[in-house]
Amino acid sequence: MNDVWSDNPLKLPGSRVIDRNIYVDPAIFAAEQEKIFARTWQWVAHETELKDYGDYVTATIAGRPLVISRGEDDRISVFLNTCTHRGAVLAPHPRGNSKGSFVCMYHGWCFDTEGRLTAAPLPVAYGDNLKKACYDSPTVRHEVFAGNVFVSLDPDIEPLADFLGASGPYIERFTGKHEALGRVRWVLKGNWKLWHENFRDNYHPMFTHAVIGANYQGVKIEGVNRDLSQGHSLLAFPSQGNPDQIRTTVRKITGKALESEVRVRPNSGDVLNHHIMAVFPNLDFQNSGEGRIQNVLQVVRPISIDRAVVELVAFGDIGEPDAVREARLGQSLDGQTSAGKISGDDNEAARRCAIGFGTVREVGWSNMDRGQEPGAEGGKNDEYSLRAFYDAYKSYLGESLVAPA
Amino acid sequence: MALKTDETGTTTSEPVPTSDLAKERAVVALIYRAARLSDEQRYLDWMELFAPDAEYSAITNENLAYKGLRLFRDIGKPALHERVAFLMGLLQVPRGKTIHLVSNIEVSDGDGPDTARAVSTFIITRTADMEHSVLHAAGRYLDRFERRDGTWLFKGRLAVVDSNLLPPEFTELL
Repeated sequence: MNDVWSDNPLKLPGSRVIDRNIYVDPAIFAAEQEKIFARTWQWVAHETELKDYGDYVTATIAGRPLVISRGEDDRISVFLNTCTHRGAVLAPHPRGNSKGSFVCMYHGWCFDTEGRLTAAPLPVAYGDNLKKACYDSPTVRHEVFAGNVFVSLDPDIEPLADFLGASGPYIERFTGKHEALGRVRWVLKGNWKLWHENFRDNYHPMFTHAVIGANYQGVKIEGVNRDLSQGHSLLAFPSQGNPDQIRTTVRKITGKALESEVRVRPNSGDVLNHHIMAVFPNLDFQNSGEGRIQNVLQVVRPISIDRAVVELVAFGDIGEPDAVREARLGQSLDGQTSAGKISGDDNEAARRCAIGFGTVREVGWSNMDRGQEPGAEGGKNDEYSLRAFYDAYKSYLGESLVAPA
Repeated sequence: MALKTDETGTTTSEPVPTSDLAKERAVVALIYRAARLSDEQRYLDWMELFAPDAEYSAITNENLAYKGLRLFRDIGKPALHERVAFLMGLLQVPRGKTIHLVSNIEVSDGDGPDTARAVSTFIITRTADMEHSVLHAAGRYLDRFERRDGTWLFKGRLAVVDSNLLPPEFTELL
């Protein structure tokens, strides 16, 4: 038996090379579900999405469908989305309002906003048996941080604030005084980690995204790539806009000069106002700073070894001026989602990597070695944050990663 | 559920068919031309179907019914021109061959003889390299038009996408 993490032909220490079997091996996918997704805190909702009595959203964590519901006294509850009678999901939609009860479509069993069985039709036939056993849908542990509802299938998990560690103050800044404006979901044709890695990798944008490459021409952008420990990480850098290069690029591609000035956001100089934060294992925040409209989070959830669903939530400031809100609603996703001018290419990169992994027997390793200085922080294009993820990943999976010789 | 015919998602009203058959014919022809130019990947020609201050945007049905979060909202010709540049080369997502099928067009009058509105439904198929043709998107267009110097142009197009789970490559024109 070889330890796939240390016995590699490049002989690089730690998480500087990654065994590509983690992207293609169904056994590792199964281990991830139980040892990572079932044992970490998982983001499922923002409280502002559950404003009224009966409001609910649904999510699937480690294969378990869940209901996140607002009930009496404004209490938020999380319970398994299954009828305890025969199994049908109680809430089939991504979001909705239960009006206070979830009625199973199959035999009409009725559950309240906390998953408690309140009625079973024609109960006489059960005698006293319904009273002898609990048929409430089991609740799932949840905590709220800066408006974000997290759940964990592990009842013994550490408190949420401890789990979030150094990412906590940033989450507070990004979502603590904000409201969710909507969600968009899309399919990722690749392993879920490819998407999450992308938020810890600032080496790729100037190559993957031609518009960013054009923006970067003629300027040097300094920034940081920081391991926040516990698997979390932060990229921070100044926003950069280079209207001359964009204008030139558009003319070169279309053969037609733009009729007016390019809509480029102002350069923020040396201010590291653009933050991309990754929270272990599958949550990401992108915030373009005060006075700018982009403030989103994304959560990527695997559905198989080579397919995932990415879910994005956009935020606005509570009480912001109408013009700002209109701009956010209209344009904050311009680069995001699988329809976005930036993320569209990230989806394509994941798809191409997934195809390339067909060579895993011949080319077994991916390199994440950028940044040689010791410590937890390097330059914008370094990969301290990627290694932070894989150090944590390795600690959660442990012996699951021992591959056959 | 009432049909939301205003792009803000707040107005509900049934479209009243226009009695101006010449207007209707011109608007329907414009809708079909936009579909054909999209499918022929003639993006610069597609762009010229829009008025200089027109907007082109998309939203999922889910978000139209929620708070109005768009997938994108291009306001004015320069924004459309930027989008065209992305389609012609700034994006690395390969363009697929699309077919835009538009039907169920209902044209109504706008605020005067030189304006109009239309609701219609679309189905878009996409054929990527070495892949089968797939259903890419389905939904409805909420369009506004105006006639400038005798030519009918889009003043606003909102594509409302039915699905709340988008495909992985969704950068084609809707």
